[in-house]
Amino acid sequence: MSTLTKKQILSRLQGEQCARLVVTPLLSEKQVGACSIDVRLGNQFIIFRTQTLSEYDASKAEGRRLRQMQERFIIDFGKSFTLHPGTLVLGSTFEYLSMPKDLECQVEGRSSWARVGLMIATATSVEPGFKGVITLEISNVGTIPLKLMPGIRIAQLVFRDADPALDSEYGSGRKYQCPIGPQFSRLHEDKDFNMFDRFD
Amino acid sequence: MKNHQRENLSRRELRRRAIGIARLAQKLEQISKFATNTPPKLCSLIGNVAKLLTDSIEEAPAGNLIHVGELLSLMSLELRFVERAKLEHTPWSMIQSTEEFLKHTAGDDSHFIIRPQWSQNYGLIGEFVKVYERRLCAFDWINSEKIKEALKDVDGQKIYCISFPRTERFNALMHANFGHELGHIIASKWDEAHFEEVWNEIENQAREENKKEIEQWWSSVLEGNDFLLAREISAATKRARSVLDGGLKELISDAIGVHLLGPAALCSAVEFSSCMSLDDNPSESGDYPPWRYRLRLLLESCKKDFQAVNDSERNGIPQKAEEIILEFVKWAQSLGELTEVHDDSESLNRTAITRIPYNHIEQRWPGILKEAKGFLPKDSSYSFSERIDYIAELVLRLDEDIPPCETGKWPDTTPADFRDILNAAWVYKIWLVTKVDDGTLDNELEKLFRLVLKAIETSHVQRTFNSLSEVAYN
Repeated sequence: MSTLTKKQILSRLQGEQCARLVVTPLLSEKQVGACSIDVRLGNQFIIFRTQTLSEYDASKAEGRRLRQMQERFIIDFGKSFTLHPGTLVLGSTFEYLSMPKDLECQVEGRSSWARVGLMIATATSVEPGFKGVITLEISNVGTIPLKLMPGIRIAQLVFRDADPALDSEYGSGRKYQCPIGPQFSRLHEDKDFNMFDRFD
Repeated sequence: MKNHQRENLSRRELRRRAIGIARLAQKLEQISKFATNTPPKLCSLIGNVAKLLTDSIEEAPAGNLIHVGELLSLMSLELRFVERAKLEHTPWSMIQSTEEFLKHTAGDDSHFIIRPQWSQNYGLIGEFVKVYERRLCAFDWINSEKIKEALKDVDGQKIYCISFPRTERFNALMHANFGHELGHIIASKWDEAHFEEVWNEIENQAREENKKEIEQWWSSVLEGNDFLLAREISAATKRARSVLDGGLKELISDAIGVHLLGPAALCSAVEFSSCMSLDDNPSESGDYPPWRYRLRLLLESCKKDFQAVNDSERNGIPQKAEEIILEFVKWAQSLGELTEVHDDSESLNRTAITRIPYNHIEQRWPGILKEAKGFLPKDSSYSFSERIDYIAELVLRLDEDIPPCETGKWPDTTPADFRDILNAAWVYKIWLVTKVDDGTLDNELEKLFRLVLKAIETSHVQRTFNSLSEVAYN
């Protein structure tokens, strides 16, 4: 499994049908780096409603409760919001991805942001065949508030070959299908919780 | 309670209400999030008018207090347009593009609030600035300079509100009906300039024909009662005028919708009317033309385009896209089976009240359409057949579950046109509906709505970015 270099990434972006990697829209060619593509921050976000939430218990979370514990908000392009130290917000990439079946990618934070305390995610993996925007778990682990603006380059995608290629259609039975904004955790859908319930 | 005590009470209450409205308007303007600056603009207008009324209530003659009360009631009602236009109530990702498109047609001085309503209908309300100016000028105890001051932020501007059905919030395809609503602005301009002339051409005939029918049908009741007869004839003639006016406004708006948005406007009208009667007589349905009549004219407007797509060689369009487009054209042409039936004509011919106006519309329609289109900017028409290459590209993206936000091959891509996105979405939807029959259609349609909303927003951001990046990087 080797990491794709710029030449290979460009070739995939301009490729034909099933081998084609789509990252749309790539607003600037400068987003393609030596071994990665920089992606921008979208404008939809989800935060926990901490004021009314005593805890998050995935085994007891279900539809109505889930909607009550999260709040979605939108920040216009050109405007900004402040991420305070110790807080987590779910955002997403502005770019929509369509992954070929023989590529997987890792979402990594940009070191420039990490140096001021912004963490994106810990090794988010995007599977072959995925289509949609990527949810980013954005947290400020630094000590000073950070001003974030939709459209800024916030993370990077590092692509690797998936060999052999995925032979089934991505999506059937998957938790997140063609999302266009951040997706709240669906941890509660894990069947494991049914098992733990029966432990005495 | 004595008269002067009631007057004092009335002034105090009106002042309190005006202060309340001004505060509410300010609060809405300051703390709400909207997709564009138009809702705060209306807030500011209402707030300024409320402040003016607060300051001038003491000078209002006692007999006019009731009118101040009426105006305040209207103002608080109109604040609901702003309240409902908050981001969380609207298809926010398409609001900016939609307003841009609407402004391109109606003029840069026109602003649009887009908000949901619980009624299953689309509608256009406004223009607000002119109405407020008129309302205030009727209050002659208020100094005209103060009125000017209250309206100075919106001087020379126009604010409209377009409503959409709340339950269709994310159905971007159905929102092609915005074209029809925009058409109402054009229809009003036409109405102001030409309606009287068109009505004058048939007024006598309408009176004579109505007279004949009334004498024939009501002879036993009206015989010898000339006064009652004249009153019935006058009422029927007035109804005929109203049918002509209402009919023309809707038909012109339809025609403008399809002129601006192409087949997407036809498709949204077809779906919107799918649960309604096709042949209702206008005099029994609020002067609206029968849907079959409307669809016939809409289809007629698209016919040439469909034929051009059918006849063209479509060189360079990938086979899959061609298959999807031809399926769409076949579906659209099959609408002809619906409009070839003339049950609507039978319904219209039933009485002179509808027969005379619609016979006249039939004769005058090409001329009326030309006059109405004269109010549009020159580059406003949309040709489906001329855009077919772009539509094909966007359709293929939808088929691959990719938002139809750009055309071309990276890095030589262009943000997709708002109207191409809507038309491609309809083309693809019709194909989906005819091909997907395994119970997944509802999910597929929801996915389609998401992809279209994302595409509309993305292409708008991309256009803005492209123009700004030249400044940033050079």
